Amino acid sequence: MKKSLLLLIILPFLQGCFPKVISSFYSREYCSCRFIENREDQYCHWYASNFIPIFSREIDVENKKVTSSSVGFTTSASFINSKVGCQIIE
Amino acid sequence: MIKRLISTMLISFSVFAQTPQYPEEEWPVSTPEEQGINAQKLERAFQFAFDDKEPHRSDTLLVIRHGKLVKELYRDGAQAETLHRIWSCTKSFVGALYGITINKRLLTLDTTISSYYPIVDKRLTVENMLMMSSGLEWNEGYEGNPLRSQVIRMLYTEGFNDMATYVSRRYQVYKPGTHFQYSSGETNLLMGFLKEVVGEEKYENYPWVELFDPLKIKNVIWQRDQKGTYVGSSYLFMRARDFAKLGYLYLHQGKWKETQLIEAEYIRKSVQPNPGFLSTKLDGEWNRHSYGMHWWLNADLPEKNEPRIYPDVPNDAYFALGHHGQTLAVIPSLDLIIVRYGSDKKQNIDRNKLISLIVQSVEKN
Repeated sequence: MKKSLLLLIILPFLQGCFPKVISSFYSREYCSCRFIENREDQYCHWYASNFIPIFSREIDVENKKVTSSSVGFTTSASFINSKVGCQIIE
Repeated sequence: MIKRLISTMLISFSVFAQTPQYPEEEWPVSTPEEQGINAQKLERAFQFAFDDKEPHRSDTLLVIRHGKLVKELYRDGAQAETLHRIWSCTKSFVGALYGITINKRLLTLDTTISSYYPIVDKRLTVENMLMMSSGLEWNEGYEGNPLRSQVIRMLYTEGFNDMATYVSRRYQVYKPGTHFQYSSGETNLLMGFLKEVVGEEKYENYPWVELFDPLKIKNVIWQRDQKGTYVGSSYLFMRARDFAKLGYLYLHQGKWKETQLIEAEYIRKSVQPNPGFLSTKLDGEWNRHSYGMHWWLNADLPEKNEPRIYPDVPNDAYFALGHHGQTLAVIPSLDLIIVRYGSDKKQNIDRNKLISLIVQSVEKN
C-alpha cells in the first residue's frame, strides 16, 4: 500500500525525467539473463527488477522476446542472434 | 616514477623468464600445489566468495597461475559454459581493440576524434578517451542515482539508438586530457569512432577477427545499439575461462604465441596511472582508485599522497572491473589471474579481501 502511494506521488516526476527506463532496463536485462545466460525465470526476474516494480510482463520463450510495462511505458527486447544477443526493439 | 619503471621491468622479466604456455580453446589444468599454491588457503578464498552470510553474491570464481587453470567454481545457475555479462569489464576489451588497431597503424593515440565527430572539441584525442579524460560532461551512476544518470539514459532511453552520437553531444567542461571522469560514454564514443576508422563492413567482424579468434574465444556475444555500434561500455557476454585470456594477453605484454597483437609500450601505458587521473582530486576512495587506459590499477600514488586502493594486494595488480562485482585481476609479480563473476545487487564483494586471500595462498614460484 505504502509502495503504491509512493509511486502515485512520484509518477508524474518519473514520467517527466525518467522515461521508459524501468521497462527498458527490465526487458533488456531479463532478455540477456534468460536467453544469453540461460538462467531460470525466478533468478532473471530478481536480477532485472529494481526499486520501482514492473506492473506487467510477457515472456515469449519461443521467440525469445520480453515485453514489460511500468509507470505507463511498455518496452520490448528480443534476442537477435548468437553474436549480438538482445536488443531493445520498441 | 623511476621506482615504478624499475618495478615494471623486474616484473616483466620475472614473467618472461619462463616460456609461457598459451591456452588453446581451453586452459591446461593443474592442481594448486603444482603451481605453488596452498590448496587449503585457496579454499578459504572460495569459501569467502561463496559464503551465503556475506552480502555479496558470487556465481563464478576461477584462478589461473603460470598459465594453468588451478581451480574454478560455479553456482546460482552459472556454469563453465555460461556466457556471463561482464558489464564495465567490457571496457578493457575496447582498450585491447584500440591497442590492436594502433598496432595495425590505422590510427595513433594522438588521432583526434573530430575527424568523424565534428561536434567535439578539435583537441580531443583517442588517448584522452582511453584515459577517461575527455573533459566531456558526464554523470556515471546506476541504481544509486538513476534520475541524474547519463549512463542509464545512454543505455536505455535517450541514447540507446546511437550511443556514440549521444555522448559526442555532451558539453565540453574541461580541457581534454586534464580531468579524469570515469565515463561509460567515452568508451561508446570510442567504439563509434572505431567503426569509422575500420569501415562499417570490417567493423561487423572486427572484434572477432582481430581479438577473439586469435585468442580462440569461440563463443561470445557483444550487444550493439540500434546503429550497429558495439556497446563497449557494458555489453559483452563471455565465459570466465575466455575472459581470463584477456588478462593473459596483457600479462605477456600483448603477445599471443608468436604474434605481437598489441605493442608492449601500449600495454605498459595501459597499466600506469594516467596524467589526468593523477592531476584530478576525486572524492573519497575514488582518489585512490587509479586508472590507466581502460584498466583499473592498484598503484601506490605518491603523486596524490594516497595509498593504493587494495592495500593487501600487490601494487602491480591491475583489473577490469564491472557492475555487480565483475572482476578480472591480473597480478604480474605472481603470474596470477583471477576471474570473479557475481550479481552483487546488495553490496559489492570486498575485492581487497577476496584477492588478498588468493594472494596469500601463493607460497612458491
